[in-house]
Amino acid sequence: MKLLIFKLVFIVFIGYWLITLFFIMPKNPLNITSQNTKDLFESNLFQRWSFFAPPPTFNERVYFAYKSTEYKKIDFYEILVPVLEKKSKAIPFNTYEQIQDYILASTLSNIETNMRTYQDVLNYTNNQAVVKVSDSLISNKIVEEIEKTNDFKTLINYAKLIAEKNNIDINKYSLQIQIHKISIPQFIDRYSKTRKEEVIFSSNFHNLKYEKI
Amino acid sequence: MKKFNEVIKNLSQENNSSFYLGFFRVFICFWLLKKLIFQWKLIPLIYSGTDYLIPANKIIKASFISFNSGPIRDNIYLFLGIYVLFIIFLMVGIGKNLVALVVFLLYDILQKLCPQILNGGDNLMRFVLLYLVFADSFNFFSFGKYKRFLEIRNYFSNLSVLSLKIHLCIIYFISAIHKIHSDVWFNGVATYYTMNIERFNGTPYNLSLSKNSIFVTLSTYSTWFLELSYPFLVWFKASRKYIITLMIILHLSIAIFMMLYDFQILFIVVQGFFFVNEEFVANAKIRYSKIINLRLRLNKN
Repeated sequence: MKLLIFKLVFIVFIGYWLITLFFIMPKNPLNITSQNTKDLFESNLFQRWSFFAPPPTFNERVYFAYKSTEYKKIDFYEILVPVLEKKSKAIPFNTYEQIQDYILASTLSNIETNMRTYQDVLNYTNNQAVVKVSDSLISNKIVEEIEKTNDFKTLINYAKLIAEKNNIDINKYSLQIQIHKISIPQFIDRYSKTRKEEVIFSSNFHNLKYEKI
Repeated sequence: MKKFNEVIKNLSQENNSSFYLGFFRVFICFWLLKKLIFQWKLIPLIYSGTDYLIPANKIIKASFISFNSGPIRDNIYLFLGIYVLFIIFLMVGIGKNLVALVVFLLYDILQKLCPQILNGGDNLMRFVLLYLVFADSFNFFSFGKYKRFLEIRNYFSNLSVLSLKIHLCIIYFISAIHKIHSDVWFNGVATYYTMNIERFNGTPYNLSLSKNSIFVTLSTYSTWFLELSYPFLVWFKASRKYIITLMIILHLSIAIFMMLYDFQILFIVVQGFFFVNEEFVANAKIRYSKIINLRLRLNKN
């Protein structure tokens, strides 16, 4: 009886490893067709082991642009570099700074992923439609959709903290959030000082007074 | 079939990693406590949802159960108090596998409360805790040993340790095949990019090292060569020590250059499961005999 139980456990053990291997392998014709089972697997045994394959080929900047409603001037604050500088300075006990960095990085990553998804959906819908809409309208729609997400709201909340730290009265300012990408030059151009910076997301101006957390 | 029966018999005869399981149980309890202590100031931000971070999940799906995270977020300090209590119980061996199961479930819920702050180390820790639920890690550094059903306990312990080892091998293997597929890893320049990412700028030398073509090429190729060969070489006694030493050097380098300390330390400590009880005892004896010989020589002089 004991031997039978041991054998059954061993079969479960082998099955667990086969299933794990099946779902964590790179996408292939077999595991891509089992999406429902994969969702079940990932909701309980999620794992991702690609570790910087590929590594990012850019750094990011997030600018908070505070526009005064009275004087029409705009103050810019970049929020990532100060966090990263503190993180490097505080090593090896930089958990506090590391968490701030992880939160901002995951927020940006989610915004970028959502942008790509909305872009694909809207482009597809546009291609199917009889009356086409312009690219600028699609871009505006993407911005509107992103502004509804929790990730964007997290950045808005963070902007309120930054405003408070810098004595900016949120009743008199509106906020725009810009995300920039700065490309890391190719290895062959590693000594080059020029860095290509592009805006990948620019929100509408929001009146912080009316933005609810 | 005879061979299969023999494998099962071998797995149930003795808990081959009882010493390291005991040490590892204490280590992961310290790891979990250390992490929580360093996060303490940020609890309202990461778990309560009362700071600037909007919680990712209102409904949590943890270990096949879905529930509203609101009550936990509202009573987060009570939840963490219970979590700490169970970690301490596990550390000293009170409640044994049942407590290990509770720690796993609480850790799982904690991860789901704030997935934004997780990295590969946290991902591995979740599985480590899951495997520990089935292992008898209470023969050493514990208030009491199991005295009954030892054959069954040995069998589950050995399968748990085997799972830890297989999981480590699979992680390296999957990572390696993703790397081979990626252009920058294939062309030997990936380290240049990783060391230029500002988020992981662990030392003032990262940028200057990343410009050195010898360093970049060797570090890139050696990383994926190590990850690819480890799952095969680690199972042979002749190559095990060398591949594990190289892997520890790789993890230490990542910890230093990329500021991923907890993540890398966990991966380093899991390597110890590739050595069985006898090897630890033999190593201890060798070290002990060296000390004795040294003392004798000093006494003679």
